[in-house]
Amino acid sequence: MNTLHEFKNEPHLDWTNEENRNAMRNALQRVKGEFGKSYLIIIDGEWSLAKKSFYSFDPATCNPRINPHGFDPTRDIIGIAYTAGPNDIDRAVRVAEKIITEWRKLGVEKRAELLWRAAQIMRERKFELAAWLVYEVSKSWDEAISEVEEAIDFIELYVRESYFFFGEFPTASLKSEENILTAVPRGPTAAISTWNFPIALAVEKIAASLVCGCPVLFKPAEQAFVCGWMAVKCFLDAGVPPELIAYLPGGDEVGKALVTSRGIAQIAFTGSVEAGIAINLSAAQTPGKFGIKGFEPELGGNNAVIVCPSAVHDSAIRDILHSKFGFNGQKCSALQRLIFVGSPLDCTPRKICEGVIEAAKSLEYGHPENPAYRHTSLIDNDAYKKVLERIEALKCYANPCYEQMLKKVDRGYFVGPIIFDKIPPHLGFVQEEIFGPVLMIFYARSLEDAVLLANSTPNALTGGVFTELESEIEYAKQNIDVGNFYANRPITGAMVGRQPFGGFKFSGNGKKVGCPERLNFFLNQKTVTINRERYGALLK
Amino acid sequence: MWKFPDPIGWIPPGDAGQALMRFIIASLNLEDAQKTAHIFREILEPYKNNLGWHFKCLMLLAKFFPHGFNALFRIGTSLFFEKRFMAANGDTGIVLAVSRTSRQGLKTNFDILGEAVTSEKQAERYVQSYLALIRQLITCMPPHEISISLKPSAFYSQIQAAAPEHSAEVIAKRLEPIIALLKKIGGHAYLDAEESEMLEVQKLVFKILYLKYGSAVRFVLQAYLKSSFHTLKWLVSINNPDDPIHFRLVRGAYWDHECMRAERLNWDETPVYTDKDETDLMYHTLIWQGMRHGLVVNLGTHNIISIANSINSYISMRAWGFECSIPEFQMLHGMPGVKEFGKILCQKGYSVRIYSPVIYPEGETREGMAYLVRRILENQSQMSFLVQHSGTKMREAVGILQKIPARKDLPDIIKQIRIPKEAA
Repeated sequence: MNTLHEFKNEPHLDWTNEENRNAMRNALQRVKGEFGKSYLIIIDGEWSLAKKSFYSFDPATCNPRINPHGFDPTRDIIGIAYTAGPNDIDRAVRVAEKIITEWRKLGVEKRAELLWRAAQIMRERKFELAAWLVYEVSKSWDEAISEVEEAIDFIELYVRESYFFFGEFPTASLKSEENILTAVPRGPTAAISTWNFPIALAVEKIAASLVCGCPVLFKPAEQAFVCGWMAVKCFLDAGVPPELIAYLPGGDEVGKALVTSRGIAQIAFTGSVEAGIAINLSAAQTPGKFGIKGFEPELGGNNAVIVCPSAVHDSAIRDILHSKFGFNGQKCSALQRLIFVGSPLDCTPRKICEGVIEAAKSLEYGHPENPAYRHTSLIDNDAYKKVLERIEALKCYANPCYEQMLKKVDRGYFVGPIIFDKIPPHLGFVQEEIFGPVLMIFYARSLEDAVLLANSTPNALTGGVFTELESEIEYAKQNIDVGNFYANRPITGAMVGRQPFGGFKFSGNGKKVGCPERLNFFLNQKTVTINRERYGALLK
Repeated sequence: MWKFPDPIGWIPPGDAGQALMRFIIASLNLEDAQKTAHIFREILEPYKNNLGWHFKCLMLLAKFFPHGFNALFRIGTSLFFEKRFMAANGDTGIVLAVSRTSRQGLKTNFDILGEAVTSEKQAERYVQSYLALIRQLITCMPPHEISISLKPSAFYSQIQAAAPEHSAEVIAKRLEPIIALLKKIGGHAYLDAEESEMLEVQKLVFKILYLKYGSAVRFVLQAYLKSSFHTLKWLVSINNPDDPIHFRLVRGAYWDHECMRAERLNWDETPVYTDKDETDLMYHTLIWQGMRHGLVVNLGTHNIISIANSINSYISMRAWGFECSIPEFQMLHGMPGVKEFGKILCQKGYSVRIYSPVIYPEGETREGMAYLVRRILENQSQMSFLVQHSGTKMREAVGILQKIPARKDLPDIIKQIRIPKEAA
């Protein structure tokens, strides 16, 4: 094995390099030529069809020329998937159970080698993977490339850390007794991923599971199954034994079947709070061959940023914009509630509020295949409708202080930024995650009140403060209930290894991804005690 | 004769100095005197042993007389820092700045300071401010001498590295009224260099405007960028010898930012040279190559060696028979040595232009805060390797400068050493 270098994040692509921009343009062209193909179920390395099919669409465009299926005549079909049936899932579970011993025996070094190869393949396909993200989930160029880099980071970090986790750690020992703590794989993982990071969070679950010796049954998000398929393909092309990864697209029925399957040892899930609670319940009620199922959820957020009087105006405005409107607020870490310390007439709240509104007016929306557009469409019609419904409901309580006319550019699901500043803070709608470009502004008399307001929702994922005072940073750090706290920077964009990510309360179970401890979820700890005494003699 | 000490020298080096900068930034947005005094004490308390007596007095004042502290601090900041590094604020200030520099035989280049542009309204306001500034300048100086600096990022809030063509198109369109007006009156604008991320945008905007308005628009080239030689070659490739490209050659002002950004993005290499000697070498190479290819090189430097070297380069180039211009020397308002160097160079017949950051129309100091902090930090420590002169070094520098030949003597020197062009 090569020397194990310290983990280092994947270098971010330099867009000033023309070669990189051209490579991205070429990748977009290539990927466009692949639209409308079928992405079959993968079990044991075999690809199979099923009766029921469904589609993923480019959310930011319409194009009547591709309309062979009559499903939605106005949209580009990105791909066709087939819903895995109960038999498929049973078969996938059986294959996983069979391979588990073999894969465990392979040893950490061999596993690492295969996964590093997968990371290398992702590097080679960086632009292609990013291009799929551009079309299937409407990510801007930079957001898309960043996601692929994050996926590579997950593999690199987990593989390095797996060497440590599979070591043998002596515990308190006696002369006559040798005690060791070690780890063994738990068993097959059901990896249920989400559409907003369909590559990075798929790879996160798959890589963490595989390095720990656990096969993966992967259900991609319905809206972004092509991205999920591409991620799986990288592992398979790297030589990971095909029995170890099953690709099982579908809707809730597939998720439910996986969660309740007796052959599943743990469930790694990213998605909504409602789904998370339901999965937790089902999993607890259906223990299987591997005992009580493990469940680690990454759920939603309702995140707040507090702005204190000493905040630096221009950088706060820029970072607030980034936190709220980056990827249209469709990140669980995105900002929803902006809380100023002071009255609306004070210098900082007034200037930053004006600045945020003016900056929001300036955002340009369009199809992300054009790099000029950093702001694109919502993921699908359901999301579009849901966001509009929430906006209408909020309007019953207050008029927005800024609203960009809602519009569908090219019939994509575009919703412009909307800012409310007079919503009662404890209103039911304020407590919910909107997952769209809606910002709510509140005012608090003191930092203490601002923190109370920030903590007044059921979620605890990300949050931040803008201030030049260490004492205020310290107070907020101690008292804001969040899994990820940031001072004087955007509250989105956690980096693997640097900012382990995850929340508590209704945002998660307090555990993190993107850090070594994540691997514990896929492992059972085993204590080994060896008695060395025979008839009063020590036998080594 | 006793001279009032330079307050920059009062700022302690290292963490204490940075804490003070942090306080200055934070205090600008505070209206309440008590809060300002409280913050001063909180930020600087951990460094009280490293502070000079001036700040210790301020600390006491902040504790017992917060209103007095607030008033004194704001007056002090305005007198010592704003007035020193910002050339003017509003119409009257502009007129005074022009008259001050022209009395000394110096020319001026105006740059309107401002907070980072985050909206299109601000970008439009910048355009209007520059147009108003030019109109104001027409009333107080010869129009053909009007010179301004424009930061591309100030003219488009959605500027981005991944879409340089689009960003450049929007910026060029927005800058057109300014450049057209300057072209009409014979003035010019420098398209300022910013972070390396924006280099492509800067180049494309320049190309669009240069092809249409010629040397009414001018380029700024940063020698500390590893890509600077490549950029020079690109300038040569689009140069029109009938109306050659003018460029201001600077070492670069965002060195710390570039290094931190490279670290944040996990780049193994920084886009800038991390060794001062490499930057110096590239600076001199660019002077030489710029002149050799018929571009008009203007030096944005306070470095005496660079100034002397550029005159040598000019003599050599002319001696070899290359057509090139005598460089203009451009210096930052408020930096050490500017007055002394400017005076000597003017006496020797060289053109000296003072880069003058201004707030226009009249406004708040906060708008120039990023610039102000950068200048103070550069002046008070070795944080950036680009600052050269202080104390005895200054006297040596003046001595060297006095030995530079006068402009009127250059033709004779060139004649004496004329050599065949092929030797170049």
